[in-house]
Amino acid sequence: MFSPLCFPVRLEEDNIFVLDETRLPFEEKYIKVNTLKGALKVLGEMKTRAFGQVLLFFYTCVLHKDIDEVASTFKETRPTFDFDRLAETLKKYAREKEDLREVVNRIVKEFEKNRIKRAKKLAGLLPARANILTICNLNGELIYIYQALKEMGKGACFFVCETRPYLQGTRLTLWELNRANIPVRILCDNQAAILMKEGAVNCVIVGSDRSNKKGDIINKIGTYSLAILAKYFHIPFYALIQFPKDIEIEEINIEQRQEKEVFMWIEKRDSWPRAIYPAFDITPKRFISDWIDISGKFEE
Amino acid sequence: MNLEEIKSLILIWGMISKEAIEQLKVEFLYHKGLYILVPEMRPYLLGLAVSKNLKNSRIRHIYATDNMLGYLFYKNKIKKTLFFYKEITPSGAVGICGSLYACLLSSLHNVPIKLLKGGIESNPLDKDASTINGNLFINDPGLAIEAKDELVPWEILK
Repeated sequence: MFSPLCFPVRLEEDNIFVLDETRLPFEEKYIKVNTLKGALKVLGEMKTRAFGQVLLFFYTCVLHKDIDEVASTFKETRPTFDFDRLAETLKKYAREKEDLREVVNRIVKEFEKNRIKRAKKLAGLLPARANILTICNLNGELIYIYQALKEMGKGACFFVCETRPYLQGTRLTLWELNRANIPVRILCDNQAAILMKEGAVNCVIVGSDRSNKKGDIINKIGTYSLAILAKYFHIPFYALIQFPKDIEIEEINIEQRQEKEVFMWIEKRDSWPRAIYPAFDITPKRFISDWIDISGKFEE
Repeated sequence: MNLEEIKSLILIWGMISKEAIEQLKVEFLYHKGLYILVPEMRPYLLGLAVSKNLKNSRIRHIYATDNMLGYLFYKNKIKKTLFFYKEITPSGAVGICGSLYACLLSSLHNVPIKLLKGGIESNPLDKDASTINGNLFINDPGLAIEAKDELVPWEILK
């Protein structure tokens, strides 16, 4: 089972190839990038996100060389994600080895190994028949979780929130699970409560863009609602985290995107109502049952 | 619009009635910083129809997708919820898809819910998460969970 979303960004020679996630599921198209400016454009336009933006960051550093400049400009473009942390990791390892490309390849390999390890750890916590509610897209990690569950003799079905306004749930997660022949259903974001009440789901799994050492997380808008509802219905809520920092979660800047993006995928009009678009929300520790950390050699 | 610009919101869930629009016009005369929060109300995109009605009545409002409600409650922006129900039953009030989500989030944040009889909905293009505005986003529409009216129990509406 492989999803192009497991590795949505690749480095080949002196070009970065970015899977245009905004074209999925209609078209599997890659955008060629070979400058910092080009990388910032695809990042700002949400052509890639989540694990893709991690890969894009590392590969841009390989081409552009100036790690600090890449980190500061990436942060300006997507302010919620912790690019400084990635820069620190890269600089730490770059000191030991001269070839940045080799360092990046090693980190990416290690990262992938740890994602699989993390999936196995989480699968061990899930029930024998896991009906998993999820949001947005975890770049192939749900496939790893399904594989791990199968190896343990467990079964699973995924219930994916469509994740308005960008529809990452429908366009990415449903698409990648369905093409891997994994049982999956799609729901409107507001159907989460009724599914929980009816007992259709028995656990929730989400990713996180940021987390702190207290256990609070920041993730795709809609995550907090799932967490507080899950708590009410006594359903375990699991967060996949990386690089938790010693920071107050409220200090992190929640990105607010352009109003017009709220109306994505709806017919074009001359005017739209005024709108808000916080891209992420905060889920405090008290609503989270367990945190599955990614830890590996480069974290030591 | 930036979230920091918004002080107080009244959340609308369901199809607003003409009577309620008249009441809101009066309320707006006395509360300058107030906005109506119009969620999208998937799958029907009912929010677009509600927004049009409010615009025609010159009532200030803000549009958001349904999954933004939780964060707005968390940020203490929503002060009241107006739940436009379809039917009252001995067990609770029945409303459109997502009514339990909106009312339970209100209740869990101690935001009062006012029950009002809903207006008449037009025939929506979308019946479930497989489409938006009639455009199909998945190969197999059968994978979408059917959107149904939802009962909100009285203990949540208290």
